Amino acid sequence: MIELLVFILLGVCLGCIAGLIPGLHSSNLTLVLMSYGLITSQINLIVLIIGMEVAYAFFQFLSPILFSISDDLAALAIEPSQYSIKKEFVDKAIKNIVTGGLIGILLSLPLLLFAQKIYPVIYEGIRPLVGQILMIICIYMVWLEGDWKKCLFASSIFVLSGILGLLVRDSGFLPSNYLFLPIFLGLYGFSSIIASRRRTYEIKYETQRENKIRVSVIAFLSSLFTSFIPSMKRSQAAVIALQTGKIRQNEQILFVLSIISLAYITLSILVLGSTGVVRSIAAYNIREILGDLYVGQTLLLIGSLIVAACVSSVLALLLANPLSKILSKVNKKYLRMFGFCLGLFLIIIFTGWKGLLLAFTSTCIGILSILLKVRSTHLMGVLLLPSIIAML
Amino acid sequence: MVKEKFLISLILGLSIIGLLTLYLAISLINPIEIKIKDIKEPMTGNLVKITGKIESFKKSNTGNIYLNVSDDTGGITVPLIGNLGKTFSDITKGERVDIVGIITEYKDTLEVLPRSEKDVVIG
Repeated sequence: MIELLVFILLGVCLGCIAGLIPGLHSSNLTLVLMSYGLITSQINLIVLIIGMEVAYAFFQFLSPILFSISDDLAALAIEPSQYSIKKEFVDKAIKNIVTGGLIGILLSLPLLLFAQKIYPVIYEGIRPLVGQILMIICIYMVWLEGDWKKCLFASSIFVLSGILGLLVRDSGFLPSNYLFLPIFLGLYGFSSIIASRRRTYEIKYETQRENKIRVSVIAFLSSLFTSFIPSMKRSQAAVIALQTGKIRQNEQILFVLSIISLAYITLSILVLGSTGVVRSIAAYNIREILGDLYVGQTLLLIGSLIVAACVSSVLALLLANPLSKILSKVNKKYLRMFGFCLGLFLIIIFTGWKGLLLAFTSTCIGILSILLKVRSTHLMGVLLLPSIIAML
Repeated sequence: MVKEKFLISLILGLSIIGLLTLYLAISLINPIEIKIKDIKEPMTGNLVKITGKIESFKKSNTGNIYLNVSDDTGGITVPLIGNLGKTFSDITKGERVDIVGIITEYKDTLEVLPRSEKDVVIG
C-alpha cells in the first residue's frame, strides 16, 4: 500500500514538472518510462502513470502564465492566465483550476456504474452527428458576436484559421507531435504578447454559486463528447462548453478547462475499465501494460486517480500564494518578453524554419482576431474546420 | 481610425501571404523514397514514398481498406480511409503499388497514410 502511494506521489511530481516545463508532455515521460523499463512492477508503473497524468492535467494550466503551452487545451488558457497576472489574482485563478479539476472528477465518477450501458448508446447516437453538431456550434459561435459586421469578422477569422488547419493537417509538413506547438503559440501566445494592449474588452469577475453549478454541468456534458467520440479533441469540447454556456469570464474559462481536462482522464479510465475501449493516450498505455482490466484493477486506478488529484490540488494550492507574490513583483513587460523568447526558442529547436513560418502565419491570424475585436475561440477553426469537413 | 484600418489590412495581407507561402512550401515537399525497413518511429509525420506489392488486405464494414504492402525488406500497413477506400475497392492481392503518404503511428504500429487518390498508384 505504501509502495503504491510512493509511486503515485512520484507520478504527481513528474506530472507537475511536465506541466510546468514548456514543451514537455506527460505522454513523453510515459513513453520514456515504458521504453526503458525503468519500473518493473506493472501496477507500480500504472499508478505512476495515473499520478503523472492527473498532476499534468492540473499543472498544464500554469505554463500559459509564461505564454507557453503544451497542447490545444492549454492554448485556450493563455488569455485568462494572462488576465489573472495583469489583475494580480493568480492565486484565485489557481484555486479555480483546482476546484474545476476536482468537480470534473466528482461528476465523472458516478458514470462508473452506467458506462457499460450508456457507452454504446451515446457512441452510436452521437457519432454520426458529430460533424453536424460541430457545424451548428461554430455557426452559433459566430452568431453570438452580435451585429452582422462582427459576425463577418468572426467568420473570416474562423475560415482563415480553418484554412491553416486544412493546409497543415496530414500534409507531412511537420512531424505530427510538433505540429501544434507553433500553431497554438502563434494563434494564442505571440499574438497576445504583441497586441495585448489592443485587447479592449475587460471582463468582470463573477462568483455566484448558481453560475458555477451551471458552468460545471455544461463543461461536464461537453467533456462527454471527448470521452465517447473518437477524434474529438478536448479543446473542441471546451469550445462547445464556452459557446453553448455563453461563458466569457476568464475565471470561469479556467474553471471549465480544468473540469474538461480532469473529466477526460477520469472518463477515459472508466470507459476503459467498463468497456475496454481506449479513449486517451493514458488509457492506451494502461491497456498496453495490463491488457483488459478487471473490476479490482479499475477500482485501483480510480483510487489512485483520486489520491493523485488530492495531492496535486494541495501542491497547486501551496504554489498559489508564492507564485502570485512573485508574479506581482515581476515586471509584466519583461515577463512577456521572456515568454516570447522562450516560445521562439522552443519553435526553432523543435520545428526549425517550417515552425517559424507556421508561427508567423498563426501570429498574424491571432493578431487579426484581436484587432477585429472578436473572441479568440474562433481561432479554434484551426481544429474545427478540418474536423467538420472530415466528419460530414 | 485610418491607422487602425491600415493595420488590419496589413495584418490580413500578411496572414494571406503566410497561408500562400505555407501552401507553396507544402506542395513543394518531395516525399522521401524509402525502403519499408527504414521506416522508424522518429519519422512519424514525414512524407515518404514506398514501392512494393499488396501482400494482403482487409476491408472494414465502413468501407475502409487496410493494405499490407511489402517490399524486399519488410511490410507495412497502408490504410485507405473513407473515400480512398471506396475508390480502390477493386484492388487485388499481388498488385504492385507506389504509395506516397505520411508516416503515422496507430496503436503502437507504424503506418503509411496516403493523403489523396493521387498518392496511390496501382500497377
